[in-house]
Amino acid sequence: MILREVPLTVIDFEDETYRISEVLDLVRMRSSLQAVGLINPVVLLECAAPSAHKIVCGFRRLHGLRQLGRAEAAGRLLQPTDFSPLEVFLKALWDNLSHRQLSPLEAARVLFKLKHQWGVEDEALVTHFLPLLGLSPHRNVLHSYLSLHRLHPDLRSLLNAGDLALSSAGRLAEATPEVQAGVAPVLAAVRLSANLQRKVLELAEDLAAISGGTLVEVLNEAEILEIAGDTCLSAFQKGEKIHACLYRRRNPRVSKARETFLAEKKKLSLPGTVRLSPDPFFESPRLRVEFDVASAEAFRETVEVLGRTCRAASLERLFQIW
Amino acid sequence: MVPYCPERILVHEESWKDATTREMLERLRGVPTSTIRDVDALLPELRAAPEFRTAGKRTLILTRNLGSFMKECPGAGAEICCNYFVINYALNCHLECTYCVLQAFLNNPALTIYTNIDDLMREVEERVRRSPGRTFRIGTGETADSLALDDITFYSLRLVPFFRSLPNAVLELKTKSAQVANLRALDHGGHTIVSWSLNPDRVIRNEEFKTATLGERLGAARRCQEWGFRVGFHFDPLIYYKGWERDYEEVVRDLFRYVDPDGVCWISLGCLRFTPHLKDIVRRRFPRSAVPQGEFVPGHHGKLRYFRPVRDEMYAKMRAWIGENAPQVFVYLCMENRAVWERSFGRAPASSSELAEKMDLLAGVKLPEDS
Repeated sequence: MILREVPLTVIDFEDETYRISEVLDLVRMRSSLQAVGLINPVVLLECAAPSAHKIVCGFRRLHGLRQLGRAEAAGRLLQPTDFSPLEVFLKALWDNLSHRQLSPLEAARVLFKLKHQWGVEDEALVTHFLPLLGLSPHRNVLHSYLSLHRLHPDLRSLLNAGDLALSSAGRLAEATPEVQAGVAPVLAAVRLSANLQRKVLELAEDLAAISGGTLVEVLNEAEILEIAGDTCLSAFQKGEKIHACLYRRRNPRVSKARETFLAEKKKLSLPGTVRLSPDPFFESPRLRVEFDVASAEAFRETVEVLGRTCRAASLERLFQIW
Repeated sequence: MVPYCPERILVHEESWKDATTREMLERLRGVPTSTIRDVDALLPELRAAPEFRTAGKRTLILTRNLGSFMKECPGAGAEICCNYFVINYALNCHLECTYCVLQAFLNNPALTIYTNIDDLMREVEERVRRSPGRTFRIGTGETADSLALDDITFYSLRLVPFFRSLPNAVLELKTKSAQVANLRALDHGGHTIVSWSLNPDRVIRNEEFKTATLGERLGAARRCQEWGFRVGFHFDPLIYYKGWERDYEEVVRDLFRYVDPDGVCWISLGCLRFTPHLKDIVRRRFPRSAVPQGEFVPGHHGKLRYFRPVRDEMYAKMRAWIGENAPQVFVYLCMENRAVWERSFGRAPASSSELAEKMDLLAGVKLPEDS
């Protein structure tokens, strides 16, 4: 391996054969290069053609140097005759793993390249490379990560920013690029926990299947867009409201039963300290009654209220919903 | 029904000792066959294809079951259960019903047939003879269709006469096929009930792809009645969709045009239920299936099922239609709670034992008087 100053003009910046990093434009990297210059040399694969040295390690550093207008970079040059392409890629992989945790998209890129570019068998990917990447050695994990490679750029950005859960990303990666592109703006407008994100996507998929439409059509209906665009709501509130809206449409009978129950309960005018909860899905007529009191007086008052409630017609109706 | 024809057969080395293996291979002459030593070692290969659940069934594995064949029906945990037993002679089914629980339940996607049928019968005999005062209703349709593979296994020829020899047991062969030819000349002695899972032709066409048509199933039931077998029917799963009433009412009418209600042992009703994982599988494997479109809520054992008022309505109407056509036939609910029984049937059995006793009586097994 030869170490020397390499003019940036002889490097092929378009070649991504050995790229692992997801984000190349890092402000912090540029600041570091500006402040102290390049500390660790990059690694390049020497090529005879002009401007054709391939980047092996140092994509972000080299992009940073180019943005800063630097002319050269200290680089170690690998000879293509000394290493197979897979060996070169493994150098890039180990270099990355030695100093940082790869993001899910980067792990996906590594696995995709190993499988499709270098022909590594699934068995080796599962037993050797998944643990190397800190992932569980299971075929379904491999399948999920390989599918991430099909993720639309807008969804990749959301995943990178932590606004898209890995499980949801895997689910969306199975969809067509058009569907992915159509879903991304709605997901970007709201904040959802991983669990709620999964539920929203499931509900939207169900509704799409029932209506014979697409996920994009469901998530771009007027009611959803209105919520997503409501400036009075926080991103979290939007997420919850969209979930509630989709749930109501997917489960009209359950939702109607819940609404009826709440309306009848309201007619009882019970104090806030008394809680009435039905079976969550009205499987049985059981009703849970709870109350909180802090004194004997409060206890007596609550019991009196409950006693009056016994004679209310709405009480019977609470059980008739069932 | 589309008959099962594997693309390859893998025989476990121990299974070569069983005569049933050679008999089955003779019936499947021409299919490439090889010997294996370890079924589990095949799993990575069998599960490697993206659509391994479909592709896996093209492999038939003949092996021995080293564990137990007989167990309580999974419904045993329900509030009211008929106390049924199941014996598993095979794992998996080629009939490709969209809602089939085996898709999520089986680890091995190949179709497996156990060749040590003698061990199966030995185990059943020991278990049944240990409790002479109890009636055992035992089915073979839990992890496979009871008769869809009978043209390969010919196991009905062994099991039906075997159950005739057990005074306190009755065998129920549950199927979606019309494959009853082997039953014709068998001496069953009243100890075998042949039963069919029924659905409207529309559901059969869209959700039960390789099964027999409704007409074929009912025709087979009539033949079995003519041969002296008592028959049963299972509307399970009942599937809710717009217009279900018209279709299911027609099935009930058709049923009693084909069969004599006096020879019907029982009819069960059970609404569609499945796990969240199975729902994902169905979506992926059968994107046109209407099965995942119902309004489901989580229920017993975390399974999804129709919202309770939907089930109440389906059961009540089905029972009424059956009653109009055949009031003498006993109808029961499978894996349902007491409240649903009461709302849809007007009353519930006092306990699982009451239901089981009623069904034992219907099974027609005469226990020794001194037991």
